Amino acid sequence: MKIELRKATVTVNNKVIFNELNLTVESGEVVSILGPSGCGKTTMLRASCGLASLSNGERYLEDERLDDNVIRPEITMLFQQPVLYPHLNVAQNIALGAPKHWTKETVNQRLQQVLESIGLTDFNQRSVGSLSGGEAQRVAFGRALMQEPKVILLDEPFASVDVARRMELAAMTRTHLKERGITAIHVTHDQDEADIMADRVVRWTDLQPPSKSGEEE
Amino acid sequence: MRTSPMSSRFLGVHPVQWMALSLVIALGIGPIALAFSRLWAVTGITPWAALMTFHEQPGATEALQFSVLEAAASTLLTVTIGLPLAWAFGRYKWKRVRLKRALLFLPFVTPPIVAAVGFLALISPEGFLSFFGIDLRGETGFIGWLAAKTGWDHPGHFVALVISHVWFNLSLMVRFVEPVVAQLDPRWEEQLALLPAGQTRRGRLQHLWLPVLGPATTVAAAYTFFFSFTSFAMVKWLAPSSNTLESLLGELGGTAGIAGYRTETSLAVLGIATFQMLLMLFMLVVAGRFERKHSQVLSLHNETMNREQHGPAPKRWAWFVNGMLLLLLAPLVSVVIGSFRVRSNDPTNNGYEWTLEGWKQAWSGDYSTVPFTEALSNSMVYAVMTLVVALPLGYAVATSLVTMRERGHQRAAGVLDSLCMLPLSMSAVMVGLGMVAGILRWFPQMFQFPYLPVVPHVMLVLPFVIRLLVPAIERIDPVFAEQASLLPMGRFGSWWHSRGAFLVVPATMAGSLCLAFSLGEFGATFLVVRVGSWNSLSILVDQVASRPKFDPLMFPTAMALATMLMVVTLVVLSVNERARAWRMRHED
Repeated sequence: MKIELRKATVTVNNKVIFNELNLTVESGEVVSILGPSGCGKTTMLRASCGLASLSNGERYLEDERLDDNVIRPEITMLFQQPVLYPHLNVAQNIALGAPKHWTKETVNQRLQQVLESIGLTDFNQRSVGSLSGGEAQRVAFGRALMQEPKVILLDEPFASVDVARRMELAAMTRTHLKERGITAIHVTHDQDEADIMADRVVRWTDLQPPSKSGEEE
Repeated sequence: MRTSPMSSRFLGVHPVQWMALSLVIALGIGPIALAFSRLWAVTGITPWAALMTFHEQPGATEALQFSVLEAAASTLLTVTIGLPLAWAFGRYKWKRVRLKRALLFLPFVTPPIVAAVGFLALISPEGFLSFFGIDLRGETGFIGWLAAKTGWDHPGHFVALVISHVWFNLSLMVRFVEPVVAQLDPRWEEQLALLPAGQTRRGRLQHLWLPVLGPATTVAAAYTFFFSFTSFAMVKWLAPSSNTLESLLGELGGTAGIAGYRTETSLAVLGIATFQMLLMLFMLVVAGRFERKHSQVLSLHNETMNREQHGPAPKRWAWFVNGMLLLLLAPLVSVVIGSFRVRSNDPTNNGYEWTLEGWKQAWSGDYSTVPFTEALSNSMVYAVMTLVVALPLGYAVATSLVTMRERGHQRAAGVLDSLCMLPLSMSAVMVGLGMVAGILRWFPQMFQFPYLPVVPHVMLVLPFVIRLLVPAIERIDPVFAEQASLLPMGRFGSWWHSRGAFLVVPATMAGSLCLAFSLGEFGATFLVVRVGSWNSLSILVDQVASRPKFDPLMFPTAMALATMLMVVTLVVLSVNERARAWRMRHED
């Protein structure tokens, strides 16, 4: 599914986070956006999925214009720090991603497939508090896969993982995205990670008109 | 397709939450405002004019003098004993520290009527103190000599009352001061020891302990004064020949507000209540301002490491702390012992025999009192209803206040928060008076409403529920809600995973607090149920203990009832302690 931001501007407390930003990601394409910390990348992802409001401009999903703050089930997001619910174990956290119309059997079957695909088969009963940073991010990614989304927004998802694991996780993530034909916007400040993940790497400064670059987040 | 929360709500708060907020504020202000307007209507005198007649009201000036005197003495003694107790308990490594801490806090959560009869048993001619030749009740021996020499009326009663207030408020002192000592960065002390100013005990007191512990001690002392000043059950039982303003109001309040009947009583109540309310508001505002002004950011340190560093307490401190723990248990143990000991004419057993007759009588009741089971079921009904009403209301108010603050409406949230906390500035008897003179006199048909005591219980417990839930809600990371909005969940699932599941422990704590508070509440219930409705367990203890003692079973029966009330309350409160322990384990 194609996702698009047109002349998007976000202002918070009279402070411009980014201005007249344009971004188009074609269906099934994985785009990495490279930019320094605090430039507004996270806000751009939050606005793309409806968690933040656009002060100006428009966003489109497959050429359909989306109203402000509307959250569509086709889009999901992986946060920089994986958000796992501490009162649920690994399997229960992943199962939260299951579409409501699935039967219990389908959920269990898909859960096993997801656990296998993210390499955490034996982890289903584990408490999320006992996971390492990389394992936790895999669980969050597994839950996103469970949702069968058309678009995934990845907010520096491997930032809390050491360099060697980061590359391994980036490669694994790309494989899953491409296998399923999921459109992805991946933001990072790590050139190597972007190179592994993306079909196309874009610099943050190239998304906005030169004179209107956003200020510090 | 879902949308984020709508901005069309007023100050970000849903209309249903506004209704809950309005109800809580109306509950806090309404009855007392109605009571004042009723008393005004009946006497034809404004509260301000009635206030000017305060000194003319029979017993009012004496009650004010007695209240100030006993509260000041209680505060002084509480600080004298409580400060070293809290310091030693916070500083050293103690075996079974959690159990000891629970014992230290026990008095504060003991129903006042249980403590009152416990002290009564302790100071009675057959009680623990009589072994040491101290007779505070009959005022013979040294106390009698003191009374005769000084002309002081009932010094024994005064001393007993002050000791009981110290017993209650030591917990408060420990609660405020102990964490400061236990978590104080040890480098502060070490650095001072290397400086000339820290070479003497006086220097260490002046430069470290006084600045560090002063604010917490003063705040605890201010609350001790406040609670002693508004004491009711203790005064009623331990100093029956004297009155505090609170007990005077309790005495007069039952017949106030009736048109054309004892107007002078209504006038006295109006004057005294106005005076008491203004005084209490003033005291709370001063204590609150002091707390805010002197609260300081201390560099907190790991408590366990600190205790390890200081090691086990030296012998004299160990004797002091353990001895105080035993003394704190004494009134409660006296209640249990008193329930088995029945006066007899058999001189071979020192005039007493050990039987279960008191328990049997308590269990079955008699012609003028209800059996234990009935009083307990009444109390449980009140308690469960208090829980069912206060918890959802408190949650709705807490979420509203948090939402307002999150959206930047700090001032509005502050004002509404203060309004919701108003019942804290009223004593239990004032709340009861609000019910009697404010609700029942205007709407006498409510006499038929058997659940009337639930209303003051809800009023009194709501501020605590809100205070527990607000920080718990504020601690929840909003990212859980954002993540939930991106997952295929229904409205309830989304609420549960981003908020509900995180509130199970604080809600359990608030719930057990509601139950325990309602079970033990005495002041407001005393005013409300004596004009109709059913007896609660705490009222039954009071009724039985008040009866003439020519029947040797009366005292043991009252003690048996008090023991049962104590056990039920402690069982409920143990849920609270377990939840607190669980939270500490999981948040560490």
